[in-house]
Amino acid sequence: MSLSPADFFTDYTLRSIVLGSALLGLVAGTLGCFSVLRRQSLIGDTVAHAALPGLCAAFLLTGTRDTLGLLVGGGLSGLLASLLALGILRYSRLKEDVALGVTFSTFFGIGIALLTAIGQSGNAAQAGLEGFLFGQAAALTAGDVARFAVLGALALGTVAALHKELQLSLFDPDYAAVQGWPVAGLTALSTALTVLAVMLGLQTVGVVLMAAMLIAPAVAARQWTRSLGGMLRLAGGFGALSGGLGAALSLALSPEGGAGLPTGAVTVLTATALAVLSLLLAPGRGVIAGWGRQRQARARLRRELAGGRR
Amino acid sequence: MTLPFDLVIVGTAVMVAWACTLPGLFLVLRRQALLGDAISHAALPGIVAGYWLSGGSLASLPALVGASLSGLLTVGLSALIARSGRVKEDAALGLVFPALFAAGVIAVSLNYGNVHLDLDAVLYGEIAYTPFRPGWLGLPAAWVLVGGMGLVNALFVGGLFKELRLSTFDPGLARTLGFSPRLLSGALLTLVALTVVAAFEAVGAVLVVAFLVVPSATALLLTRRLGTALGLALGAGLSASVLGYVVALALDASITGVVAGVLGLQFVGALAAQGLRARRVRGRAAPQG
Amino acid sequence: MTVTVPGTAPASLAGSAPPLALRGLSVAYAEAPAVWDVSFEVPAASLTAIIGPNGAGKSTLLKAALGLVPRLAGEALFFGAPLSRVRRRVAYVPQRTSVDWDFPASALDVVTMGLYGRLGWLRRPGRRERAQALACLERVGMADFAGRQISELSGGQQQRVFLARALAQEADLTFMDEPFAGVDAVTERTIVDVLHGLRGQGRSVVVVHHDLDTVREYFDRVALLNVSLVAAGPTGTAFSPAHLRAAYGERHGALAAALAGGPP
Ligand SMILES: Nc1ncnc2c1ncn2[C@@H]1O[C@H](COP(=O)(O)OP(=O)(O)OP(=O)(O)O)[C@@H](O)[C@H]1O
Ligand SMILES: [Mg+2]
Repeated sequence: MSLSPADFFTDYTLRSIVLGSALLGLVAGTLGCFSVLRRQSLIGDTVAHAALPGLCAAFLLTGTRDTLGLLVGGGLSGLLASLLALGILRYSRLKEDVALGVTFSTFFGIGIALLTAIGQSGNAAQAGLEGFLFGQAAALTAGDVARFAVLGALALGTVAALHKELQLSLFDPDYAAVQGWPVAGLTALSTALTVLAVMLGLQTVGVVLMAAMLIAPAVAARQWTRSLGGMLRLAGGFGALSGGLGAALSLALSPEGGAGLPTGAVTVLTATALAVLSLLLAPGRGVIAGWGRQRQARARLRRELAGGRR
Repeated sequence: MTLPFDLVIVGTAVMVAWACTLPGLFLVLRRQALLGDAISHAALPGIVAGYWLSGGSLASLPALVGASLSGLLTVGLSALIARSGRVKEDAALGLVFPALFAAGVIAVSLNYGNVHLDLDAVLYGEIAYTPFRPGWLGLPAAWVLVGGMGLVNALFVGGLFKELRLSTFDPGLARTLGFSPRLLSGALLTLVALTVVAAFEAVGAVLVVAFLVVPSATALLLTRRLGTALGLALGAGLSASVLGYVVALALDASITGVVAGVLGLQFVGALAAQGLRARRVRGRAAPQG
Repeated sequence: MTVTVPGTAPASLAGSAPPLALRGLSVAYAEAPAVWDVSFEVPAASLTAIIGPNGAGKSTLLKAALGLVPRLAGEALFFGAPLSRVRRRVAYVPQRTSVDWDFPASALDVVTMGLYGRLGWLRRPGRRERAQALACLERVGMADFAGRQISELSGGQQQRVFLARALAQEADLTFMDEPFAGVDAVTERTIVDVLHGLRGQGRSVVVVHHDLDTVREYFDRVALLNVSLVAAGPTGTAFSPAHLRAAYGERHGALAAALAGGPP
C-alpha cells in the first residue's frame, strides 16, 4: 500500500484505525501509571490472560461470537482475577508478582480447559476467539472508536476527579487509611479502570502487547516529570502518540498485497522506543544527563584537589 | 520398548513440576515470579530465527537454542534496565518482553505471512502429545529435555542452597562474605530461562508458568522455613500432576487446564488454612477481663 | 450542674476526655501475641515516649490503635470517641521506610497531602493549601527544598517532610514511629523543638523512641512496653531502673538503666 499523509485524514477506514489506536494508547498509558507505581506493572498481562475463561464462558453461553458479549465476559473474569490478586496481597505476606502470577496461571489454565472443550464440540466460530490473543486493529470501525471515546472519557474523567484521593492512597496507604480514606476501595477502583482499558485494547493489539501499552508510556513519562499529575498527562500523551504513530506506520509500511504489519506489534515497538529514548535522554533523570553531571562534577573536584595540593 | 501413555504424560508433568519448582521458589522470593511468563513470550523471535535457520522446522534444535537465547536476552536486558535505578524490576521486565514478542510477531508476518506458522503450537505445546515424540534411548523427547534440566537444577539448588538462601535474603551480606550474588542470580536466571524453554516446548507455556509460581507460593503460605517450603512445593507439584491427570481423564478435559486448576485450588486451600489458623489463635489468645 | 443541649456533648466534657485512652489493647500476628492487654492514657499537652526493646510491639501498638492492623481485643478511644469520629484531630507519621520515595512527588506535594482530610472528597488543593503547606515546611526548616523531588532528599530531610505533613493537619494528637531513626543532631533538635512547640499549644504527641539517653530531656511521659505494658506515667516515676530492667530483661536491663542515666 502506498499512502500519502493526507490519506489518514480522508480515508474512513484508515482514520478509524489510527484514531482508535491513539485513543487506546491515551487511556492505557494514563491508567498504566497506577500499576507501574504500585509495582503491579504486569497486571495488564494478568488481566488479559485471565480474561480467557470469561471469553470462553460468554461464548458457551451465547453461542455466538458477539463481540460485546465476549468483552463483557472477559472483562468480568479479568476483574475477578485482579480483585483476587488484591485480596491475596491484603491477606497474606506474598508480594505483588506472586499474587499476579498465581491468579494469572490459574485463570488461564481454566480458560485453556474451556477452550479445549469448545474445540471438541467442533464449533466453527471457535476460531474467532483466537483473534483476541493477537488482536486485529484492522477491524476497528468508527463504532469502535466511538465506544473507546465514551469509555475512555469515563475512565479518564474518574481519574481526573479523584486525582488527589488516588495519589494519597497510592503513595502512603497507611496514612490515607488513618485519615479515613477508603484505600481498598480506591485501589479496587483504579484496578477496575485498568481492566476496562485492557479489555478495550485486547481486541485491537492482543493479549501480550496490551501489557506493554500499560507499562512503556508510564516508564517514559516518569523520566520527564516529578509530579503524579505530570506523569499521568505525559503517559497519556506518549500512549496516544505511540498508538497513532504505530498504527500509521504499520499501515504505511505494509508491503503491497502482503499480509501487512501487525498494528499492535508496531505500536508496542513505538512505545518501547519512546521509553528507551526517555530513559536515555530525559534531562535530569536520564542516563546520559546523569553521566554528564557525574563527569563534570568529577573533573571539577579533581581540579580542586590539584589546586589544594599546591 | 514403548512406555505406557499414562506413565509418559504423568511423568512429564512431574518432571516439569520439579524442574520448575527448584528455581521457582527463589524467583518467588525475589519478586521475579512472572519471569517465566515473560520468557515464554519473549522466546518468539528466537524461535522464528531458529525456524528460519533450520529451514522451516519448529521442533528443531536451532529453534530451541534461539528460544533460549532470547530468554537470556530478556533476563539480561531487564536486569540492565532495572540496575539503572530509574525503573523498578517489574516494569523493566514488562518493558522488555512485549518488545521482543512484538519483534517476533513482525518477523513472522514479514517472512511467513503466507506460511502457516502455528503460533498456538508454540504457546500451548500440548502435554497430551508427549508420548508421540520419541527422544533418545527409547525415552520420550520431553523426558530427555525436561528431565535433564531438572537434574541440572537439582544439582545447582542442592549444591548451592545455603549460598542461594543468603544471596536472596541479604545480597549485601553475601557479597561481603565473598559469594557473588550477581553471579549466583545470573546462574539462577539462566537456568530458569533454559528450563522454561525446555519445558514449554514439551507441555506449553501455561503449565510452565503455573509450576514456576504456584506451588512455591502455596508452600510459603504454610511455612517460612526455606527447606520445608521446598519440600512442600515439590509435594504440591507432584500431587497436582497426578490428581490433575486423573481428573482430566475422567472429565475428558485439557490436562494442562485441569492441572493448573488443581494448583490454584491447592493455593486457595493454603490461604484458607492460613486464615483459619489466624482466627483460631485470636479466639484462643484473647485476654480475659 | 450545667444544662446541656440534647445531642451535643458539653464542651467541658469533650475537653476533659484524654486525647488517647487505650483499654486492654491486644494484637497477635501468629501464635504469639505481639501486644498484650495494654492500657494507658495520654493527657492533653503532653509528649509521650513509647520505649521497649526491638520486637516489643511498639509499632504494632501504634498501628493497632489507629486501626491499621486488626485488634485481638480491647479498644482505643481518641478524645473519648472511636477514631472514625475524630479522624481530623489525629495525625500519623509512619516509619520513613514504609513508602516508595521514588514516587513522583515534590516535598511540597507530600506536605500538601496533610490537608487532604480537611479538603474532603473531590476538592483539589489550591493556592491557599500550597501556602499553608509551605509554611509547615518552613517550620521544620525545609522551605528551601519545597520543589525538590522526594527521592533527592536525605533521610533526615525526608523525616522532616513527614513531620511537616503532620503539622499541616493541625492535629491535636500525633503519632510518630521512630522519627529520630538515622537523623543527625541538627534534624533531631529541629524535630524536638517542633514537638515542644506543639505541646505549648496544648497538643499531644506519642513517639516511638529508642534513645534512652534523651528520654528525660525530650519527653514528659513514657510508656515502657515489652509485649505487655511494664509501666506508664510521668518520666520522673515511670522511667525508673526497675522498670527498665523489667522491660529489657535482666541481662540488658542494667545496661539500659545505665544508659538512661539519672538517679540510680
Ligand atoms: N506483619 C507482621 N506479621 C507477623 N508478625 C509481625 C508483623 N509485624 C511485626 N510482627 C511481629 O510482632 C512483634 C512486634 O513487632 P513490632 O514491629 O511492633 O516491634 P517494634 O517494637 O516496633 O520493634 P522495633 O524496635 O524493631 O521497631 C515482633 O515479634 C514481630 O516479629
Ligand atoms: Mg517498630
